[in-house]
Amino acid sequence: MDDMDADDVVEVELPAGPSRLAFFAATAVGAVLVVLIAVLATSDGEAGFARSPLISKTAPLITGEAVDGTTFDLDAERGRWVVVNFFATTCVPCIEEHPELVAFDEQYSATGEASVVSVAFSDTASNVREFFATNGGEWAVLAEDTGRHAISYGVAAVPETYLVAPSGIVTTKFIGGVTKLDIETEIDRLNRANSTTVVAES
Amino acid sequence: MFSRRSLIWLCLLAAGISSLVIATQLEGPPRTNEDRVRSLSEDFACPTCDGQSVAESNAVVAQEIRREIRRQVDDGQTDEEITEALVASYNESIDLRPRSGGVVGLIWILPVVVMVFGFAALASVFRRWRSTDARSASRADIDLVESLRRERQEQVES
Amino acid sequence: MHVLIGYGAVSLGFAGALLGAGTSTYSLIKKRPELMRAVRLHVGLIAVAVVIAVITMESALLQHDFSVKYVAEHGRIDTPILFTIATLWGALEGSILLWALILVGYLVVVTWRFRDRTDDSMVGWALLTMLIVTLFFFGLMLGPANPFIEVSNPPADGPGLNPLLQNNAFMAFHPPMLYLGYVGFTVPFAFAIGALVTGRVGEGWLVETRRWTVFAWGFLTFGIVLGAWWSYETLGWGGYWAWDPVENASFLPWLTGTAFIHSVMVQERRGMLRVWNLSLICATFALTILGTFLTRSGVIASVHAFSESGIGPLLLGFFAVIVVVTVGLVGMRGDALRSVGKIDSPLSREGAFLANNVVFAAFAFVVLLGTVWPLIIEAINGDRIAVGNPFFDRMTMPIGFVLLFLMAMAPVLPWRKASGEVLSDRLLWPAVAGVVAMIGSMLLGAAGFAPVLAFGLAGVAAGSAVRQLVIATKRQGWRGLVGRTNGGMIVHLGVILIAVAFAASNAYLRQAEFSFEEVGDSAELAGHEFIFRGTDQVIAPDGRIDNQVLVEVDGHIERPALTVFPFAGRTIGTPQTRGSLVDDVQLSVIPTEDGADGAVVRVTVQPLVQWLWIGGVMMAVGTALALVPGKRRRPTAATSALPVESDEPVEPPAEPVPV
Repeated sequence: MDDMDADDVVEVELPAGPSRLAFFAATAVGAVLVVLIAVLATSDGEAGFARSPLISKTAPLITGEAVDGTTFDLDAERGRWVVVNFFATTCVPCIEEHPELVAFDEQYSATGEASVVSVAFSDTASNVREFFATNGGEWAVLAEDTGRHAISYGVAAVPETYLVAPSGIVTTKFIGGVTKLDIETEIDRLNRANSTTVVAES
Repeated sequence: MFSRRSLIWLCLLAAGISSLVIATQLEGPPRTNEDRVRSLSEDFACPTCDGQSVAESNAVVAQEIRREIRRQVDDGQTDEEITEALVASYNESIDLRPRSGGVVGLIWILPVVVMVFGFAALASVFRRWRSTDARSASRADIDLVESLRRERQEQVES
Repeated sequence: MHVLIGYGAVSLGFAGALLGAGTSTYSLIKKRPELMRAVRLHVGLIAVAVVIAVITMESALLQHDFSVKYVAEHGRIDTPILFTIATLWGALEGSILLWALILVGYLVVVTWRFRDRTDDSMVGWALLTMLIVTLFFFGLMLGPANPFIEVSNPPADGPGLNPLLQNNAFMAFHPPMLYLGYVGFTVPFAFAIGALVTGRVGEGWLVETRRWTVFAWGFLTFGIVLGAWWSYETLGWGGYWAWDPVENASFLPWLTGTAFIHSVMVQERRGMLRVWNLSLICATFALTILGTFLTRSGVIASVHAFSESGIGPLLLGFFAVIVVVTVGLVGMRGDALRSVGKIDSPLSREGAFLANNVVFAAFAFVVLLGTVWPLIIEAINGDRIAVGNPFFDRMTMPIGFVLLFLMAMAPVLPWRKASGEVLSDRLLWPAVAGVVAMIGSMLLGAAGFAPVLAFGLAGVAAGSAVRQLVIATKRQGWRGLVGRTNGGMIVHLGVILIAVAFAASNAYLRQAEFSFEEVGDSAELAGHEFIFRGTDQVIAPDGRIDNQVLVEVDGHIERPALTVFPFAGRTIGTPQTRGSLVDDVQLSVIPTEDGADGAVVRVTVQPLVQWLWIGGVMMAVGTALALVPGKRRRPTAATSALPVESDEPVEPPAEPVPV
């Protein structure tokens, strides 16, 4: 007998769960996905290394022998603003910003208000000497064993410039090439904003 | 008392567990400083690369960071000290392991929560299915009922 | 000329898709099935259009017609021919064109296979769904992802492809394979939608699309393996899988797709897990769109990503639409999706497959979470964090173990209910295999809890799979190697090879950087000897300059290099890999400052890497074998699983289950 009427069969107790479960599960999953979509839609996707943790902290040590044979020590520069510039001789924005640094150095190192120090990143001393010979610049340049300095400052790519206050703390990080005006404006702003010294948190 | 089969299984289980215990105790080739550098490098992001770790990338800054890690490993710094130093220079973005604290730490907990929830749901579903063990009628039952009905019908008609 | 014809073809395709979608919609809503026959012509029109478009683009590329913007941006006269042809999919707009080609290919085959059933409303809705997807992709090509734009002053030469894409022949194979997989899932998805809309959510749609699903899955699997292999050979850091967002984008649909192809067996046999199956296939398709979005929107940075473009929001919108529609449909049909049967015991094949679904879903959740977590955190508090290997490795390892365990258990579990007796019988030899694997690996030098446990579980799983194959071949001869179950066992063996390779290469990787100063300097790592033999420079016909470092590895000279692409302004590394069944030695040159005479070479030694590729090939072979049709049988009726009287355990049939 192949036909079974509904009446002939013992009633089977189907759990009422599955269909409601399906609905709830579907709604839950749907809600999560809606949140996901909202997040994806509002994102702008950039790397997060622009923010430096060095700001308002004591500048990491830079010591070493410059390419002209003199010794450089960042601590010795306390009392004036220091422009710490990380560069490489082959990087195009570095080459473009160099004249700006030259101009800055000429104006301010004479008065002793500020000094410049350049740290070569992944480059050779001979390249650096040649670069400075051709393009000018009379400040201390470090080229040997400079990787650790760059890492301690959190350099991601060159050029990057850090401004160190006379008290020895890092105030600003410039990503990309700087101009003389950029540095001057920043120093002015900081001088006015904080007639009290910017306190070091170490 | 134990069947031969159970005995074999017991031996297998014993062999398996003891192998695992021995494996845990065994030391592989000694972990050199280079090995530490490699495994640490996998934990830090290269700042200029698209999401690659310092271990994966050939960018200049990645190499420099590897060199720095190597220097610090050779100096005897611990993993935590090296991590702290790099985070202090760059920022937390460089650490590829989400920090445990705060919202970020949720990433470690959420999967566990979801998995626990999933298995709990699975277990409860199994239990529910087993308890409502209603059966459909078997063919024999239906035949029996049909024959009884026919009998009753005949009785009524007669 | 090329631009005109190409854009015209794309427009034609769009028009055809619009016509087809419109006709289908009208036919289905007004219940006039005879109108669907016209759709066959529309599909033919789209096919002609897309073929013309692809031929036009290839012609433009091969003729170096720089008046076409795509060619001007990515083509170059001296690029080797293989890569010129592959430039079709080497950049964003072309990749959408490839997607459209493959999608229309599937559409044509579906239309042809179902040409006599166009009056079936489920088929009608399926075709409509596919036509809407086709319409979307052609729409992308008409607007934001247009490959046929005219350049007013065509340059004399172009920059060529990204150098990373030209360094290895894999570039020519990985994307088409991957797309055959990705896009292939559109077919079962379309039929799922058809089933949901018409309410015919029984087993019919599953059985119709079974072969398509396995076919797509096979190509997706092989495409992913090829991608890993390519990345391994090109990037040179010794790794093959970095849990990179683009890699995850391809892996997510694979996870839900794998759960799906297993779970459908339960529905075919016992009419259960319907909600799971519908959700899994819809999730798989949605994830392919999400993956496409992630790799082309620039939202998450990745070295494998395409350049950013304007199609991101459109893809995200499409993803949103798919989610809303499928969740709505599944929710609406909740009633009809109730199981016909129920799971009697967790210790049964149904129970194992249900657990399998849960584990794969958890796996997909973890991978998706890790991939988008940086975005979520950024949306919450503005911080930018990164999630990398450490998270994924730690989270996925236990899941991997559970999956190996399930792979060991499921083939020996009977349907409905297992008794201890049956299991202890069937698992004996696999258990022996597992113990032998553990002890064997330790004798060969393995150490550490996780790898050895992985080897043990892999041994048991391999034992289960081999046991099934042995039984089948004993009964049926060579036919014991084909068909769904047996092909599946071979695929499992491939997966096991990959799992073992993964465990071994991650746990026992050794790496070092050697600074060679003079010819003759030597170094040693993990039992291999490396002798520096000097440097060399080779200029290739296409203009690239290979600055090679000659290193003698165990007696053979390898030439890893730093390759300068003067026309692209980039230098990339060209690593060399020396593989054997035991281990792989990969050499990669580290750039140093000029002036050094020697070289710095990074050496990575990893055991069993070749097993990954062998396992991948085995999975492909197993999939092909699984698609071989068995002897003709009636398809299984959903009510075939009537309750059984006796308390004896049910043996699986001697021969593979019909269908």
